[in-house]
Amino acid sequence: MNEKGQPDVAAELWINAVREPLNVAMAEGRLHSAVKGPITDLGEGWWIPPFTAEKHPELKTVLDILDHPELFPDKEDPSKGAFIGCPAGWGCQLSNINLFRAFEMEKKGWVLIDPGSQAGLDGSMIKANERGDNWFGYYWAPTSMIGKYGMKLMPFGVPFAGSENWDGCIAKAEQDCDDPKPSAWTASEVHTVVTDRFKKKASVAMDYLAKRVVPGSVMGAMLVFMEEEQSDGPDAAAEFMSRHEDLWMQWVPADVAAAVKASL
Amino acid sequence: MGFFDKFPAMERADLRDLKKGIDSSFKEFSRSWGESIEAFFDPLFYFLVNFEKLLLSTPWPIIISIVAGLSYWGSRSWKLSAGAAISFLFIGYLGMWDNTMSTVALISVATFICIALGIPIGVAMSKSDRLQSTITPVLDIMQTIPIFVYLLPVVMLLGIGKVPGLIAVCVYAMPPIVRLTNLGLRLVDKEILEAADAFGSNYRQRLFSVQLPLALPNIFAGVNQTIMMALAMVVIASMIGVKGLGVPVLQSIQNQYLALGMMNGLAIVALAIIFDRVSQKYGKRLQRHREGGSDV
Repeated sequence: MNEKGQPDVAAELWINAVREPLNVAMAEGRLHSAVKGPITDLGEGWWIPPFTAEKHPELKTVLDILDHPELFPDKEDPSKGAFIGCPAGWGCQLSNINLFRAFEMEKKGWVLIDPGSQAGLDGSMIKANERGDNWFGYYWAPTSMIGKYGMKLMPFGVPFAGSENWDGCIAKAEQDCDDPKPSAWTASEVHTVVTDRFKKKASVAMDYLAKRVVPGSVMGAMLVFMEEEQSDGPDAAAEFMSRHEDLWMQWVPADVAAAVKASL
Repeated sequence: MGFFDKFPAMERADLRDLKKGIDSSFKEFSRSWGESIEAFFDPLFYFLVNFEKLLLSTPWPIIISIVAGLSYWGSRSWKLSAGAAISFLFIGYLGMWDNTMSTVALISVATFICIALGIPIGVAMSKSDRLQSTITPVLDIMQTIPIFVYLLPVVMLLGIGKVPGLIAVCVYAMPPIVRLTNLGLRLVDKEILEAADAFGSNYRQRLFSVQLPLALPNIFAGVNQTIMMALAMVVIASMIGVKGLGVPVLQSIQNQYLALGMMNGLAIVALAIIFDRVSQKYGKRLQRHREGGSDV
């Protein structure tokens, strides 16, 4: 998109991973942000299943969990707690490795399990939820997985320790991060990004994009709907239009909204 | 004419219900049987875990001596044995020792299982045309079905880690040994079998002293293919949480760490070559009767 000007719209761009090239492109006027945060309540972090939270109300933060590795035994070495990290090669793998070090989890009796792929990560979460086993690991929202199982995002129990610690250390390769400090997860910044050509040519659409903000809970519920009904994008869009009229009617001018509604 | 223009596909809603039905019955199945199936595989799991621990806790000079010794025992070739030792020294020097040990543990167990199951299946197939026509499509499925199609259900059932990894490796690596055992036995000359019968050999003698030895070249081609395919699956196995040389390869693919990927990839190749040369030389020694026959 940056190089070729195609496609015209990135509806949901997670910019933490592409911040530098994006800043350059925005400064040079090749790309523009139509709206910051087209979906609310999103983000990455460490999660546990709802039944674990219910059974162990004393686990209020990540720090509490870290004191109880015995609740999350690793199958290969049941004396250790298993923390399911992020698949090898993803950007989040580095952050998880460094946070694992920052919280001194090895000393506290944890092992970092690399699920290897999203299928591995999803599979391990599905298995734990279907069987009622405790599970502690990395994931992100809004996703159908989080929505379907009602996973609980754990507050870290420590504040965000500054972007210098995060961008300069946690988000880097292990050898470039000598002294990671415990920190809450960095806020995920998501934008709807459009090309310069789109902005100039399609001002009506720009107004629409600027207003289009979907609450995280709605997005999560729609993702669960898609998975449960095995529906594709168009089906889900139709369902969304009929279910959340109040929401999308505000994104477009009243006459357009009425016309769209009539055509449903 | 609408019938000819558009394929008379199933109604969307019915199709969706069908898919939903299959999915939910699988979830039901995994909820009620998951634990017992996991328990069934537990002995294998603990064997793998302990084998890996043993390899990791054994001092490296001993491992290298064992590798060199095994290579010599298999191949009776000093060159090969020295080559194996040197490649292991390199692997260790480049910091890939632990991952290599994990991979060796997984691959040797997987290869062993594939051969132990594959040869008897191949033998049975060669005896019965009906069995052959049933098993062949199964082997076709095992070799061509996209791996994640069956891996996701396996992971949902057994979790991530060694056992699903082993299953993935075996599903993919077993077909060649089955096929080639079957082929080898079927290619044995009918007249030789007649001669064996004429000398009054019983079923066991006929199989173990006549057919299998004559089929050895094909069987060992199967062993070779099985080993190669098992090692090719190392990276896929690491995609469901198996430790080993595949993990850094995955990491390097997505982060463009060329050197890291190359080194670990070559370590996999080195393992493959050592496993293969030793087993092939061993196979050749078993077939010495082919070269002249004076010492039979």
